[in-house]
Amino acid sequence: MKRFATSFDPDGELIVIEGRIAGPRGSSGGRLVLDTGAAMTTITPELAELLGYSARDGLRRTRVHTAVGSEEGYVLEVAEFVALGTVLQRFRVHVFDLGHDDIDGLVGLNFLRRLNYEIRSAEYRVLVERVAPATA
Amino acid sequence: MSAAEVLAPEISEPLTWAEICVRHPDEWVCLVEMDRVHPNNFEFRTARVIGNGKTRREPVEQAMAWRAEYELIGHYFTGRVTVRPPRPSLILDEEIRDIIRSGR
Repeated sequence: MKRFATSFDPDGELIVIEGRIAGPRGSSGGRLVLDTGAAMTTITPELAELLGYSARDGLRRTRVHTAVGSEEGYVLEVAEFVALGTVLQRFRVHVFDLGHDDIDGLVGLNFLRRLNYEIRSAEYRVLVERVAPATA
Repeated sequence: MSAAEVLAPEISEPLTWAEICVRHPDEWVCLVEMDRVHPNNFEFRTARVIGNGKTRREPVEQAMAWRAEYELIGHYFTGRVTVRPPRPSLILDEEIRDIIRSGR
């Protein structure tokens, strides 16, 4: 089985990977935290806006509990989502303001469950085996 | 200076990431013409800055003036990512769960 390797910043405190997302106005790259504890992949409203999406394109409004209360987000189906060498078409993400000013989002389990992956922390890289068709 | 000159979108010369971080410390930037070292990783040799600011939104607003010319625009923070973001606790009702499960 061919493995795809993605490196991450050895000085960082989080595993931050490059993500690329396509929308109606083009594509955008951003840095996303790989988060095996998050159910859903999340992007910020600003990144969604850069792609040409807004809340009007959402499939469903959401409510999110945060440290300061409850806030609104929405679930969006983006045209294409690319991370860890894997391309998924019509991928669903949660759009929500994460409240921190240094990342564009989180890669959660609704993306990661399509892969077998190995986080090689001491080597600062993630190895991926694709187990689903790239366009699934 | 005319209004047109004030509003004219600006684009930098090609810069390395290190140069961008020096020029725009702890800011968000929007980048184009990223000459990637590897197509799927962040590292690039040079890129051009089309927007910058202290908030995520500022460079996005500047970058929209370039949207028709650039299919791919990067959106990055030049500082270090050091704080674990508060994981949003999405309220998973049955409909949301179905959306996640049935999504491609």
